[in-house]
Amino acid sequence: MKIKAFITHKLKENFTNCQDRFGINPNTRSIAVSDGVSATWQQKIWAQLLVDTFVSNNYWTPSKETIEPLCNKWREKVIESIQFLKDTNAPENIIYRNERNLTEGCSAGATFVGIRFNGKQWGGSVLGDSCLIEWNGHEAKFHTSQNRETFDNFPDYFDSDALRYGRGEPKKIGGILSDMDSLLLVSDPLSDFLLEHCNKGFGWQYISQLLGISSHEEFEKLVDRWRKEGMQNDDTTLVIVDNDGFDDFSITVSDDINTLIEKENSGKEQEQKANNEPKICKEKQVKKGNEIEIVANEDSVLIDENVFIKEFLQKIRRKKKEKKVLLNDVLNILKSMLEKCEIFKR
Amino acid sequence: MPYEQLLSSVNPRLLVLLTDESEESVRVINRLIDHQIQIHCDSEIPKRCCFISVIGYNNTVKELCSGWLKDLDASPLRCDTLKKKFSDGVGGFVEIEVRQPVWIEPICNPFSFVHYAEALILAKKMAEKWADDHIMPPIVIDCSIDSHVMCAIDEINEMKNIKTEDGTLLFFGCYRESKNVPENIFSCTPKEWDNKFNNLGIMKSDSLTGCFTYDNIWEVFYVIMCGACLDRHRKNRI
Repeated sequence: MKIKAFITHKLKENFTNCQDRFGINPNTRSIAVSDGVSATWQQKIWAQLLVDTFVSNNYWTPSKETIEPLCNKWREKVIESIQFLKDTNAPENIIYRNERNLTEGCSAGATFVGIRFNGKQWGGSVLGDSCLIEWNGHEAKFHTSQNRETFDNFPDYFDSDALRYGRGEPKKIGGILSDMDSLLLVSDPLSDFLLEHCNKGFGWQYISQLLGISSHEEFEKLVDRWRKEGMQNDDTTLVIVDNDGFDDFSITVSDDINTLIEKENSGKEQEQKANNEPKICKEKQVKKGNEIEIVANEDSVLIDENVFIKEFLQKIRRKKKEKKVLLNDVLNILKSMLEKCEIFKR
Repeated sequence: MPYEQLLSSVNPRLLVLLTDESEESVRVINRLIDHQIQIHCDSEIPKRCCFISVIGYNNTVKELCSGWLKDLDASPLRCDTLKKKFSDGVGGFVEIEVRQPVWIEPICNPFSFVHYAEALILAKKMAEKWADDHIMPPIVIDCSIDSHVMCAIDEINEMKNIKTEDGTLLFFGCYRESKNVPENIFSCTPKEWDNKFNNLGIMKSDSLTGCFTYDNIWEVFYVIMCGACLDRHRKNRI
């Protein structure tokens, strides 16, 4: 089985905001895609949990009964994320808004499609407008949980609150991947767009373009072009399974959302750093009444305390990723930063 | 089909709130703004998907506050503390203190609505400007103790003609009581609105004007602004 997987975010947004998630596990021979419902809260955590649980397991499929333990995990992870906001000195109103949502019992919603292979036979379940498309070279079969083959703004979904049950019933799906067949697991903009074109008789034209993608850049270009042709501007995920004659998974190319987010953040950090670079200014002593005020000198570096604190926190965070941060580490970081500041040397 | 676009940073929404600056109306508006921020606050700052402008028309017509959700959230005039009841999940309620940011204050002067038509003209100007370069049609909500729509039927009808790619401007009235509201202004009464809402048909409707009361504004508002009707969420967030 040859597998390719791609993900991208809404236009004018970024990967941090992306609410789609997917997972592929060659050991369990499982693939899953989940799309967090925008109008809900902390849906990225929920979508990730659904996907991770499905692909890390040989038997688990989401249902009203089996997702109950996940609901507790979701809550734990949400509490952790709020604690992270506090630890990283996020604005007070953001912390408040999140704590309030938690207190008010807000929950997350996510659609889901997941399959597992046994030889060439595949089976799984689908809920909402995330969709599995079976393609035999000239005809497409859409597997979705919703009765009508149209997608609107009110998809079926799993809810992260065990008492609320979400909307709709997950549907079992299954089949056999024949020699020339492909399976496409997609989130709603692609399913909606492809369905429309398949109904008009142009399915082949569009699906063959998807099957030909071989890199993240090509995927982004195609999504961009299709958005101009009327595809919904939403987070977009595509996982392609081609039959290469072997049962084992061979992942030829796969995006990793966490790497994409990190890359994006490091780009932002560098940009911010360049913008906030302290400038070397002139300094002189000015007498004001009985007090002497120090104004920047040519040798000194002016420090913006906000920039200083941000840089300090970033360094701590980076260190934290490597290992447990000890007091000594904190002092060393501070020392190295202060050494650069002429004003503190004096 | 009208009203198909999803609310997002690429397709933001303009929300113009008209107020007679009475205590009740101001309370509703402060809650509406807070509600908008809360539902669009995913895990980080609220997305740039809604621009709110509040126009007061008591004594004079002026913009009382305006901004993207993120900016409004960061700059209320002050924050009051309210006690709110929430379900405890086992059939009872728990009372929890919540912060209610305040962006606009009521006016204590004698109530006046002589400037209502002028306020509508200002709202229309804003909506027209918005419609020039946005896809989502603006929403105008007239929020006051009593409806004054009879004083400005021409202005309202003109405003209702403003169109974007995704449909015509949405004009709603929100009053303490709706008994004196003329039927020809709004396409549905609060009761009809409730029915449409419960049938989940409103987002596909061609004519999205409506009139509702302080009591049922929350449910309707959530659906209008989110473009999604998730039973548990609307119940939960009211």
